[in-house]
Amino acid sequence: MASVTFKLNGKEVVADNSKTILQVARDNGVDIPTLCYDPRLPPYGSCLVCVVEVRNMGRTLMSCTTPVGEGMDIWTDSESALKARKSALEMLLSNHYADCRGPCYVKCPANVDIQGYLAFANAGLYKEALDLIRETNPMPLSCGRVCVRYCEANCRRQDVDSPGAINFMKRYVADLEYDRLGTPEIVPSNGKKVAIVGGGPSGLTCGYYLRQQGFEVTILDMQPKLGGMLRYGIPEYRLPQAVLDKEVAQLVSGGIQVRTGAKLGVDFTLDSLKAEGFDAIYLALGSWVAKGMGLENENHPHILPGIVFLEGVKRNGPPELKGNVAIVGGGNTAIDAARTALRCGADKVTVLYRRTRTEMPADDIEVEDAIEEGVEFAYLTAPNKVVTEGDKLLGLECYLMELGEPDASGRRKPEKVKGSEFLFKADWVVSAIGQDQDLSGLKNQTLGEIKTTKWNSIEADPETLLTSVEGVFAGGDAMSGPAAAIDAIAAGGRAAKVIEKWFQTGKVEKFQAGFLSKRAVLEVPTSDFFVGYQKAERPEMPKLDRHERAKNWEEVDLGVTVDQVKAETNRCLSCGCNSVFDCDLKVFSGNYDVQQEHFKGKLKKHKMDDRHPYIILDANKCILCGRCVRYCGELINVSALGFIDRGYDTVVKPSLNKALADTTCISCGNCIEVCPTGAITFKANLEKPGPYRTAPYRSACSFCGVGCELDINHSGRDYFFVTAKPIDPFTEGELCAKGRFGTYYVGSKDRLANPSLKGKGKVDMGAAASALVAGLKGLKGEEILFLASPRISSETAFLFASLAKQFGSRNIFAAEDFGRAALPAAVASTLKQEAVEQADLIVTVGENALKENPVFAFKVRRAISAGAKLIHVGPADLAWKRLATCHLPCAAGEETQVLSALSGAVLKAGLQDAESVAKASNAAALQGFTFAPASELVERAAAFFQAATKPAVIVNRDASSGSELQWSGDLALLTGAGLLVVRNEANGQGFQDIVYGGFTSSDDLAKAQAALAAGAIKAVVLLGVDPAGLSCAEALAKVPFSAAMDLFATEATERADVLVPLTPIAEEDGSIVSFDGRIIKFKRAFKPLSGFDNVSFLGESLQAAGGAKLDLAGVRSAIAQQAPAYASLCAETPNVYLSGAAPKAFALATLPTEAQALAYGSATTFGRRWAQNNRLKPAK
Amino acid sequence: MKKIVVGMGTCGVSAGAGKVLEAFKDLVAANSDKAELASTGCVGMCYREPLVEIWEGDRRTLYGDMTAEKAKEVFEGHVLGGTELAQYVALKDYSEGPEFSYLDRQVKVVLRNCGFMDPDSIEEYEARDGYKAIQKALKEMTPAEVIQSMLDSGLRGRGGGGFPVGQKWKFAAASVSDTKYLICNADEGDPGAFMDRSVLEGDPHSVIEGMMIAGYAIGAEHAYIYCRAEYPLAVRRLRESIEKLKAKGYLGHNIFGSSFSFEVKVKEGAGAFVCGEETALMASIEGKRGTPRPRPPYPAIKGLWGKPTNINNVETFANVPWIILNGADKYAAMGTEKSKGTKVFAIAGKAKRTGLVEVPMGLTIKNVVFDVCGGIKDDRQFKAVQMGGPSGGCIPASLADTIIDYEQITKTGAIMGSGGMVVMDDTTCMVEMARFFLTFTQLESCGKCTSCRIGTLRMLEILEEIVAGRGKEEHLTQLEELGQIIKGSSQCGLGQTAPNPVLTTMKYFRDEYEAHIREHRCPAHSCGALVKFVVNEVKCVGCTLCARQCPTKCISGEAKKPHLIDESKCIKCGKCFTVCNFSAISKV
Repeated sequence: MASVTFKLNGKEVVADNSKTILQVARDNGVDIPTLCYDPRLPPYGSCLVCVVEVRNMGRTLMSCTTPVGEGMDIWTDSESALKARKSALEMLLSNHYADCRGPCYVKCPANVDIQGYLAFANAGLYKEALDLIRETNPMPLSCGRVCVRYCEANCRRQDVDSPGAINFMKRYVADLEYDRLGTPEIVPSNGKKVAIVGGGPSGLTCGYYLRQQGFEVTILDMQPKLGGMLRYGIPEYRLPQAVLDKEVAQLVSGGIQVRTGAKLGVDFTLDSLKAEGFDAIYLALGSWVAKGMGLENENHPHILPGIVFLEGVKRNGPPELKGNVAIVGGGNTAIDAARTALRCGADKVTVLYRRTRTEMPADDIEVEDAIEEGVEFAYLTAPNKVVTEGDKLLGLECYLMELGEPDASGRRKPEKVKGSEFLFKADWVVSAIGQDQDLSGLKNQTLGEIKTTKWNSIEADPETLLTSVEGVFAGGDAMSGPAAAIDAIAAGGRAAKVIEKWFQTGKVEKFQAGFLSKRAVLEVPTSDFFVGYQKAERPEMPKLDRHERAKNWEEVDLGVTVDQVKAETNRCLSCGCNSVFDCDLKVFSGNYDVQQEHFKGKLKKHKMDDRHPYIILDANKCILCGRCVRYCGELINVSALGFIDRGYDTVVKPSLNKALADTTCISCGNCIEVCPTGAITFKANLEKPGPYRTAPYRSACSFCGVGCELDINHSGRDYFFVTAKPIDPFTEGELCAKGRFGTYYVGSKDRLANPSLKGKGKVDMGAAASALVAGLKGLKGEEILFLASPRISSETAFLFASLAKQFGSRNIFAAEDFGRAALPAAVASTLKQEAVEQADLIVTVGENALKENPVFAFKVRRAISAGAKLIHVGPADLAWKRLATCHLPCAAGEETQVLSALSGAVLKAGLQDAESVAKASNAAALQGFTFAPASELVERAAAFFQAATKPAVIVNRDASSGSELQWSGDLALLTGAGLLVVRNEANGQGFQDIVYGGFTSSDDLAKAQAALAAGAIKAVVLLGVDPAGLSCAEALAKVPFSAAMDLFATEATERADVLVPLTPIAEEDGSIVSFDGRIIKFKRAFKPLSGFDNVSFLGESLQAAGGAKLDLAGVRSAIAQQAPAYASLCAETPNVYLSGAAPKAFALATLPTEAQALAYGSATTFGRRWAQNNRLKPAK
Repeated sequence: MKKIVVGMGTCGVSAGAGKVLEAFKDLVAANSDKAELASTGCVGMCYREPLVEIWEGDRRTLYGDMTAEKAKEVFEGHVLGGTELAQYVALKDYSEGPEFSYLDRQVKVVLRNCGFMDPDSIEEYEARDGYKAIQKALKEMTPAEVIQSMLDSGLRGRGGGGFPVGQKWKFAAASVSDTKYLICNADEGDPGAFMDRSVLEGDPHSVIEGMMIAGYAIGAEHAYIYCRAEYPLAVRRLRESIEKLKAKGYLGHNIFGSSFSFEVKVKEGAGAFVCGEETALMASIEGKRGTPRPRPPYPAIKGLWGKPTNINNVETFANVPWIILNGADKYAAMGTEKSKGTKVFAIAGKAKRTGLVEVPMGLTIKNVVFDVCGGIKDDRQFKAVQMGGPSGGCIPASLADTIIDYEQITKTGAIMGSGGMVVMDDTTCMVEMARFFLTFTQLESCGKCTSCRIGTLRMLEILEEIVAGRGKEEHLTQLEELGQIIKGSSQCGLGQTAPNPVLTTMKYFRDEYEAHIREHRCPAHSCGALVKFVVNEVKCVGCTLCARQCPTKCISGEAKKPHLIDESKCIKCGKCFTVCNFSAISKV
C-alpha cells in the first residue's frame, strides 16, 4: 500500500493505491454507475458499466477492479467511457426479454399506470387506484366514459382471449371514490401566472396540474360552462352533464380562476393577456368549426353541421327532428349525431358513409350501440348534390362507391360507380365529416406571430408544445387537429410539466419519460408466451334497454359491478415489471440514451419462478451481475443461488435447480435488495404484483435483539415491503427473514383494532383506560401482576412499569422471565456486534446462542470465514459443528461445567489476561478456586487463547440459565475477551435496564410466583403476552380481573375484562435498545391501526390512576432520570450506544449444586484486548 | 541385435501405431534374439505417422506411414534381412532422407528428448542428462542465481503471454508467505494445438524437472500440474512418472540430498477452455466455478488458496533444465533481440508437412511454411497463416516475411500464442475461418463479462449471416464496433482476444467479406450457401459417376452426354466436385 497521486476528471487527487478507481471516485463525490459492484464484496467486474477512460493509457478500464495508480489521468465521463457504458447496457438489454411497462402504459398518451391501478382495484383499494390514475389523468370520471382506449387496443390479453376492459375499471373506481377526493389542497402561489385559453380536457388538465404546483392559473373559455368538447360535443347519454360538472368543479376548486364566455380575439387577445401579467399562455382552443361537404346549397336550414348540431342540443335543448335524418360521415361525431337525432324524435336515422364498416374511424362500441338503438347504415354511399324542391329539402343525391387502391392513410380509396346516382330522401341532414380550428383570434398580435400548419392547426414542438412565440404553448385539438379526449389530456399534462420546468430552469425541455425496456423490440411475444393463461372473456357493460334508451337522454352505460371488477382485474397479465420504480438498469439505460435493439440477436427466455412464498425470480431480467449469488454465498454463507451453465447460457438459479424454498435458502431476502434489476423481487402481499409505488419509512425490527433498523416501504398499510436501512448511498444493509417478511404481520387483517370491555363491547380509548384503572383500584400492590413482552419500546415499558408502581405493585416482569427461578444477572455485552467480524477467536455458548439472531449470525460466520477460530460449548447442529475449530460438546444445561473447566484450563496454562483480571475487584478469588476438571480437549481449546488477540465470547441471555451467563462473563473477564450477550427479544436490554433496573427484583419475582400459585393475585395486566406458551397459564386464567393489550386475539384477550389493541413498533414513536447497547429511536411508519398508540393509552391510564400526565417527551426524560445512560433519548441526536461501567468482579459460580453467588456487575465497555486492537471506527 | 522403436504418441496411435506395435510384438517375440522393441513419443512428423525407427548400433532408419503389413515387410527385409526398404524410409540417421529438410532448420530444445527416448523411463531420461539441471541448481546455485539465469536467458512465457519468466519468478520469490504454490498450466485448449501434449507424452520428466527448478527458485514446495482430462496419455505418464520419482526419492522431502522439498500433484481439468486463464485455473483447482477474477491481486501475491503462486506452462518449464545445464548465454544466443530461444509450433492445415516443429526465434513465417513444412499441399497458392488459435489472428501471405518474434507477430494483429499455426491456401474462406474460431470462443466464454458473453454471440450471429449469404453492408461496421468493445472491456484473455480472428481477417481480407456481402460470392468457393456447382459441358464425358453419387439425385443426363445439375435440389455437399475424374465440375 502506498499513496499515489493522479488526476480524476482533471483534478489532482492523492489516494492509497489499494483503492480502486471507483472507490476513490466515490470518496471524492464523483458517481460512477455500476450494476455488479457491491462494496461489501470483492470486486467482480462483469457488468462493464463502470468503465472510465484512463487517458494517458489510451484506453478504458473497469473502475471497480482497477486500483488507482501513480500518474493516471482518469476521466469518468469522457466520450469513450460513455460510449463503452452505453454499449455494455445495450448488450445487456439485447438479452433482457422484459417489459418495464406493459403495452397499455406505453400506448396511453397520458401514460396512466394502468397495471398499477388495476392491481389496486383488484385488492379493493379503489381510492388508491383513483389517486394513481389522477397522477397523470385528472379526468377519470369523464375519460372512464368516453375514452377511445388505446390501452385496450394494445392489451396483450387479447392474444389469450379478449383485451382487458380497462376503461370500465377506470369508470368504476372513479364513480365509486370520486366523492372522497374532496376539494384539492389550495397550494400557496409561487407567484407565476399562467393563462389557459380553452377549458376543455386539455386546458383543464394543464390548469389543474399547474395549480397543484403553485401556479396562479386562469382558464378562459368562450362557452358559458367549462368542459369544452366533453360538454358540447359528447351527448348527454354518453357523458351526463352532472358527471362532467362534478369533475370540472373538482379540478377548478383548488384555486383556479375561471372566465367563461370569453372569446379569444373578441373579449381578450394574447396581447391583452400579456398585459394582464400572465407569464405563460397555454392555447387549448379545440376544433370547433365543422368542415363543409363542399356541396351546393349545403347551408340549407335543414342541413346541420355535426358539431353545431350537438352543441345546439347542449346549449338550447333538443330540436324536434321529424322524418328521415341522414348523417354524413363515419367518425365518432357522426355516430353521436345519429344517436342524438334519434333522441330528437327522428323517425329514421341513416348514416351515409363512403367506405365500409371496416374503414369506419368511429369506435366499434359506439357503432354497435347505434345499431342496437336502430340507426341504419348506408355504406359505400357518398353525397353528390343537395336536392331541394323550393325551400323544402328532399334529400341528397348520392353515388354508390367502390374501393380502389389504398391511399396515403392506408385505407382503400373510395371511387364513384359511374351512373349509380340515386336520391337519398331526407328531411334533415347532419354533415359530420370533420372539424377544423378557428385560429382567427390569434392574428395580429404584437407578442408575435403564432405559426400555423398547412392543416390550419397551431404549429408547436410535439415534445415541448412550445409555439413560435416564447412563453406561448399549445396543445389539444387546436395543435394536433381533432383527436381523442385522452390525447388532449395528455397534451395538457405534458404542457404543465414543460411549463413548470421552464420556470424552474429557464429552459424549455422535453419531459423525460425515462427508458422503457420492451419485449416487442426484441421479439413480439408469440403464442407460446400466452400458454398457461386460463381463458376468461372480458365483461359486458350493463346498459339501458336498447329500445327504451333511444327515447331518452339517460346514460346508456350503467357501470360494471364489483364482482366484474374483481374478475376483470384478475385478467391483467401484469406485463410490466414491479421493479419499475427502482431498477438501476432502467435508470442507467435512460441516462445513457440506450437503444435496446442495437445488439438485437438470439434471445434467452426463461419462465418466471414464483414458487417461493416471498421471492420472485425472473431470469429474463437477470444481467448476471452475480450480486445475489455472491452475497448469498460469501456474506450470508448460505449459497442458495448459483450460476448454472456457461457462456451465453449462464443463468442464476436456486442450487441444484430446486425451487428456491427447497434449497438452503433462509428467506432473508437480501438477494432482492442487492439485485439491481427486477430479476429478484418481492412477492406482493396482494394478489396482483403491482407495481406499487412506495416511500420508505424508517422503523426498527420488532423481533430479536440485534436491533436492525429497517425501511418499511409503503403507500398505505395494504401493501408494503421491508428493506434494510442502507449503509450509505451505494450499499444496502442486511436483514433476516423475520425483519423482512415477518413484519408483514403489521398489515394483517386479523389485527385487533378496537378497545373493548367485557359485556360492553367496543369502547373508546378513554373508557378502556378508566375501566382498567377501575379494575385495579382498591387492590393491594402485591395482588396485581403485570407481565409484558420485551418486544415493546422502552417508553411503553417505562409507562407500564410506572402504572404498576402507581398501584404499589413490584410485580412486573417479562413474561418469559416469570418462569425462571430468579432474574438472570444483568450481564451485558461489552462489545459492539459489528466488531465480531474482526474477531480471531470466538466462543459460542449453548445450542441456541444465535438461532434467533440471524443477522448477527451472518457476522459471526463471516468472521469464521475470514479465519477466526470457533470454540463451541454445548450441543450444536451439524452445520455449526462443522464450523467449529473445536467443539466442546455437552448436554444442554451442562455448559456451565465446560465453561468452568475451560476457565480453569486457561488459568492453568497461564493464558489469562493479567490486566483484565487485575481490574476485577475480587481477582484474588481466583486463587484456590476449584474449577471443573478439564479434559485434554478442553485444554486444547484453552490453548487457542494463546494466539488470540481479539477473542469474543457469545452467550444468549434468553436461551441460557443464569449461571451460563455468569460463567461466560467470567471467561470473558478472565481472558480479556469481548462479551456479547445476545437476546431473543427486540428490547430485552431496554426492558432489563428500565424495568428490572428500578421497579422490581428477583425477590419480588419469587413472591409473585408464590402469590399466583396461592391464588393471591387478584388482577393481571398483560401487555403483548400470550399465556398459551407460559407454564403459569392455568393460574393466570383463574385471576378474577384481567386486562390484555395485544396485537392479535389470544385466549387472554378473549377472557379479558379490558381489551386494548397494542401498537407494534411500526406504528409507534419510541426506542429500543439492541443487545449490544445501541439505542435505536424510531418514528411511526404507519398510523396506529386503533387510532392511538401504547404511550397514549398507558399515559392516560396512569393519569386516570392519579399519576403524572406523561407524553413521549415526558416519558423519555423520566427514563433518563432513572437511568442516566439513556440521556440521549431526550436529545435530537442520532442513535448512540449506552455508556456503562467496566466489569467489576468475577462471579465464579461453582457448579450449580454448590452455588457461590456473587454479583456480576453490569459490563458495557469493550473488552481490554478489544480496546487495544479494535480497528473499528468509533460509532458515529 | 536391432532395436525397433514405435512412435506411440497420440498422433501415432490415432494413425494406427497400435496395430504396428502389435505386429512388431509378435515378430519380435518370435525372434527375440534378433531384435528388441520399444516405444517413444512424438518426433514431430505427424504427417508420416505411424513412424518406426530401426536402430543398428548408432545408426537409425526412420520409416513412415507404417502399417501392420509394412511392418512385416520391414521386419523381414530390414531387421532380419539387413536391407533398408528405401520406399518406406522417411529419414536416415536424422541427417538425410526425403524428410530431412523438415528437420534441417529446426533446433530442438523443448523437444530434445521427444521421440528419442522412452518417456516412461527415468533411466533413459537420466541417460540424456535428465535431473542433472536440478542437481546443479540445488548444489551450485542459490535461488537468486537460478532466477538470474532465467532473466539472462531471455526466456518468455510460452503459454502465449510472453511475460519474461525470470521476472515472474522474481515476483513470486519476493512474496513472503509460509506456503507458496507452483502451477504448471497444461490446460492446452487451442483447437489444433498439441505442443504441450506432445511434450507431456514424449518427455514428462523435463517438465517436472523444470518445475523442481522453479519451485526451488521461488521457494514453493507444493506444485500442481493442471492438465486437461482429454489428454489421458499425458495424465497417465505424469502420474506414473511422479510415483516413480517419489519412490526414487526425487520428489518428496529433501530431494537430492538438499534441504529443498518438493511435491507435485496432477489435477485434471474438465475441459473448459477458460480454465487455461490463470485465475480461472486456480479457481478450478480450488473446486470453484472456473471463471476469471480481476487482477490485481496477481497470483504472485495472492494466488491458489490465497497464497503466492507462480504459473507457467508446459513448454516454458521444459526449457528450464536445458537453460540451467547449457547456460543462459547459449539460450540467449538464439533468436532476436527481445525473443530468445526456440518456439514449438503445431502446424496444421494446408501445409505439406503438418505436425510439431521447433524453430529458433527469428525465422520468418515463410521459412516455416516453405522450408520446414515443404510448402502448400497440391502446390496451391499460400494465402495466410492463423497464429495463436482462437485468440490469435491471421497473417496474410503478403506478410510472410514477418520474423517470428513476439513483437513482430503482435504488430500484424496476430499473436505468438501458445504455438498453434494453421496454414491456409486459396480454398480457405477467411470469413468462414473467422466464424470457426469465434464459434469456439463463443462456446467457451464463461459468461461472466457482459461483452464476452453477449458480444461474441452477436459477432457470431453476424458472421453466420454473412456466410449464409444474408450479409448486410452495416455488418462490417457492427463487427468492428463489437470487436473493439469486446477487446477493450473483457476481464480475461479469452474475451480480450476473441475478436482477433475476425478483426485481422477483416483487416487483411476485407475484400472477401465484401464479396460475401455485396456479391453474395465466396471467393474461396467454400461457403456452401454461396457456392454453385456447375458442369463444364466441354469437359464432361457423361460418365454418370457424379449422378450416381449425388445424395439428392439432382444431377441428370444421359450416358456419354454432358450432365446437368438441378440447382434447386443441390445441397452443396460437393460430392460431385470431389468424385469427378475429369475436372468437369466447377464451383462458381
